[in-house]
Amino acid sequence: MNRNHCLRRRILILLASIVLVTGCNLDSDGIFMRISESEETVEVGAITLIATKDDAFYALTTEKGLQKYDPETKQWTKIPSDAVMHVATDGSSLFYATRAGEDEENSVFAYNLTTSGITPKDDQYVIAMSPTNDLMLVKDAVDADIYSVIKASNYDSVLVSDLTYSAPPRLIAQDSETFIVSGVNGPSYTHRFVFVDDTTTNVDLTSTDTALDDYPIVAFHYDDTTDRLVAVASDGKIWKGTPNSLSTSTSVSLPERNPETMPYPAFHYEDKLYLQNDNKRFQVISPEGTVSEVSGSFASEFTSIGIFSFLEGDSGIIYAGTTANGIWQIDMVGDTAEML
Amino acid sequence: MKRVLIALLFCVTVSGVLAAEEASPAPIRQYELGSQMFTFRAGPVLPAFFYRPNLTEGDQFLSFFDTRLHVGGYGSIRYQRFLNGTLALGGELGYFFAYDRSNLYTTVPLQAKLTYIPLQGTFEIPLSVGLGFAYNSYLESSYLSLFASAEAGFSWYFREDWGITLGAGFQFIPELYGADDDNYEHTTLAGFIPITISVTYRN
Repeated sequence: MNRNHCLRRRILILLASIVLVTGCNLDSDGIFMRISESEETVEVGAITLIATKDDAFYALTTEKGLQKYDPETKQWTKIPSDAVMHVATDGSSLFYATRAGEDEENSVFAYNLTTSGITPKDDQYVIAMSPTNDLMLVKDAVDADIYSVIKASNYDSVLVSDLTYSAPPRLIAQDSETFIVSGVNGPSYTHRFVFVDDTTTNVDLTSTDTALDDYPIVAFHYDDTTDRLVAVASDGKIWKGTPNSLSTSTSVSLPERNPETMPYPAFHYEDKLYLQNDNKRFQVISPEGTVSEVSGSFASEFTSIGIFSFLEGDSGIIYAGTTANGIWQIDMVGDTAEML
Repeated sequence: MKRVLIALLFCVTVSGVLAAEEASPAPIRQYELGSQMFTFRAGPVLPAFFYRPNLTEGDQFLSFFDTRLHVGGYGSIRYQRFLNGTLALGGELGYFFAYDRSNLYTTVPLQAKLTYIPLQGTFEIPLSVGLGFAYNSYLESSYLSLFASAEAGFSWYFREDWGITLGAGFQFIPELYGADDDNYEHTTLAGFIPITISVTYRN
């Protein structure tokens, strides 16, 4: 009898515990809803979009290298190339640099998007390229920590030169005329902002808050009509203001990445910066540095899909290269998203 | 199909006869207060349905592979003690996993388990209900939910203390959000159908 009573008491305690913890939402985000919206993985791996031409897409993929994608047939075709490390484009050609040994120059090639012809270019010490823009960050010499940004299509077009860093910096571009080179120089980071116009702006981003120098910039948006800039650092902190006078705003929660200094995938639309946070929720950053969650239905398509890159199209069309689920088309005007 | 069923019935009958001939028949077990059972289970799990009551009609119900989950797997260990000659109570700790189109969903249920065995002997029919909670994981999300189950089985005790059971049933996992929660529309009742083989030791 005592044993039965003891057992009943244990059951009651267990049931009470069940009631207490019922629906305990640890860090949920609609698990079953996200499962019901999951998409097939695509065998090419993570996709860095480069360009689109004649309804075809060109991308650098982690599993299959340089590829061309036809959304009509849903077929991926390899572009003849080996060990591609960096890519850029001027809209007519695709430029790529292959892997090189330490202290060796990279081989650079131009792939004509119309004729599919491949032309070798002069070798360069390539540090980075901007995949959707005509920009290439190069080291001036193997034995000097001096860097320049030149056009991938025309090496003679030097956009900024004589940049000094103690380690290879990163190139973050809004377009082929607007970019930031962010790198460490001694104990702190410096961020060179360049806007190529009739009068080129070429300044280090500055702030009275020295925290700006603690982390690299990984995404930004610049409005040249108002001279206002918002920048996201790798710790998620948002900086706003003019390039010469930035102040800290709020922050976004970014996922852990390796390395954390890589440019973060983001796109620009109507003077705002859009990116996906660590919960795969879309966030929009205003020119004033405020952050809000995107409530549009296009964002709900990506709750279980990680985005690896963006390519901005025309008329509010944004293309997203994902980590495992192919290429998606986002219509910002129609507020829809679909897999291509 | 008829031939397959006849062949199956024949095999079951023959194996029963052979077992009877190889050793002395297992004595009919009399359960009583204090009798114990240890059970190890494993088997596939079918996604049965997702019911989303807060969505518009037409989008509320997804069944089987429309849920975008593939067939998964379930394994568990269970311990029960008998309260009387037919009713046993205990607990079960399990692990369930299934892939959707690209990612892995897992849940670890811990439940109190009540089993009623109306038909006893060399062959038994255990009927069980369970209630507890489960830790659910998917990508970077996690959720602690209620967990409920109901199942029926068919057991064959080939020895006095050892038996195997083929069972099937339902598992229910509710994911609940309040009306003022951003995830209100994501409220879902998920149902699954486990089909398991169990090995039981009793004394």
